[in-house]
Amino acid sequence: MFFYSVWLFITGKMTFAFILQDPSIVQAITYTLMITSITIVLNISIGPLTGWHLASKVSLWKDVFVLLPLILPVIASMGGLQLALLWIGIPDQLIGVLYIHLMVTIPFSIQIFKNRFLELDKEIPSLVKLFNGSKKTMWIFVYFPLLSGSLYTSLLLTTVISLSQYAITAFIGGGLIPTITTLLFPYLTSSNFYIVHTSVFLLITMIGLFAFLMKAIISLSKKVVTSFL
Amino acid sequence: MIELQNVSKSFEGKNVLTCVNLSLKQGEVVTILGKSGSGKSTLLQLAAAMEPVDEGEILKDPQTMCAYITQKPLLFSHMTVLQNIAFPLKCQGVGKNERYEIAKVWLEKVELSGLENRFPYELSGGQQQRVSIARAFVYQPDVLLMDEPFANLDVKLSRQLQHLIFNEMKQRNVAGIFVTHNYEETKMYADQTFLLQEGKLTTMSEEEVELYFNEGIEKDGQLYSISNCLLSNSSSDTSIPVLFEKEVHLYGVNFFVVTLPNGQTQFMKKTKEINIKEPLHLILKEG
Repeated sequence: MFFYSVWLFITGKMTFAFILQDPSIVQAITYTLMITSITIVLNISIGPLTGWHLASKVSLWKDVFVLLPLILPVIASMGGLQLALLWIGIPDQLIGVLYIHLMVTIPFSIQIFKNRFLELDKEIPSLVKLFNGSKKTMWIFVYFPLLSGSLYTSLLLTTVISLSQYAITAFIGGGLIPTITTLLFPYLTSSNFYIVHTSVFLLITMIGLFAFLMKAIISLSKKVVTSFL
Repeated sequence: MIELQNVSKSFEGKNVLTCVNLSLKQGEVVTILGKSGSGKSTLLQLAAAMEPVDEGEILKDPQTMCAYITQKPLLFSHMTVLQNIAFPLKCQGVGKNERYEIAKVWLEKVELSGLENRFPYELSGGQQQRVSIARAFVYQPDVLLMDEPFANLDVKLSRQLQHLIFNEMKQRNVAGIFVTHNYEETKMYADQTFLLQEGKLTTMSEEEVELYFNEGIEKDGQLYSISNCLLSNSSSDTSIPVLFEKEVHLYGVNFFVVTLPNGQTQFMKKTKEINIKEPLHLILKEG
């Protein structure tokens, strides 16, 4: 958290003067605030109810339908990030692309796990210690099965976000680090319906495959772990 | 068996326990009374080494095993009843077949046979507490730490579980620290009673315990402990008239239920000398 804050401060300082020169900055800020506020209100209105509905009646198709909007790439203001990466010398490299993908996914994962841990009993570590159990026992046999749902959510979200990051991958990778999204994005902007259709189908299939694989791996691991209990 | 020497603990700058001393012998049961938030649970957690002490020492044999039962059963939701009971043995490296056999014995003792494959959320509150009790005894602890384990249960179930726990403790010579807000539980099971107030632990006499639970009698501004009062057919300068209500049998003891002039109801041990057809008096004596 400390390093993240320092990093944000440095990046902000470097890019702030540049951004302020833009004539549409006031309008952009107004729109951003408005859009963000409305999005937040809609999210906290629709999210819990939809979540409750999906939790009470499990359906893969409904899950996919809910996740579809996430597939579209979010055009974020990546100029600052690119400058920062130029400064530390990792643009146009795989590590730079990895780093930038982690920057947009890790906060979600942290939040998901934080919320899950808040729900769990705080006494779990001390209880396992009382039974003379090791930390390894606690993580494998207690925490892993209890966190498996959050693990799946986090992995799915990370996959969807990571796969859909056309803009930041293009910015940081500089075209030297091609991904499926950067490859498909020019087709998505094409006016040819069949090309767009095929591109979208490919993206959705990839995300679906990832989701299926992750679910299978997590479920199997959980089964193996609980069989040793 | 276990000794707390000048133990202090604070949370966020607030002293919860200050120089607490407590010594527990094998098979001994001590009760700790105190208001909510007075640090009773913290004291148990320190004794169980679930929390580190800030100052002082907790002396215990490295082989001494502690078990902990709380008001909330604290079961693992992803484990079945059998897996929950057997989990402490798994932590101690006992093989799967052996630990399941031991767990099944305890499952029978807590009268949950047939429910071994259920998950905690499929059980009632009382059943969950039974699982928690079985899990506490399964690894044969030397010290049982109990934090209001019967607080959320109905009277009948609470008595059943009390009977189960304290019988097992007696049979196995297990020592216990018992936190409760209940008068009956304190009177029935405690060898010693302590009061935890403003971070300090002090011993309580039987009279002090009764006065703590408002089981004393007030006359002319003076408090008398019920254990020092005698029921009699004759009156004296220090007696008050009481009205016989009924006779009850509680925990294997016969009591007379009498009503005091202020309307307060008291349980007094039945004695043969008392004739309930004659007027009754309560002779008050200072402790």
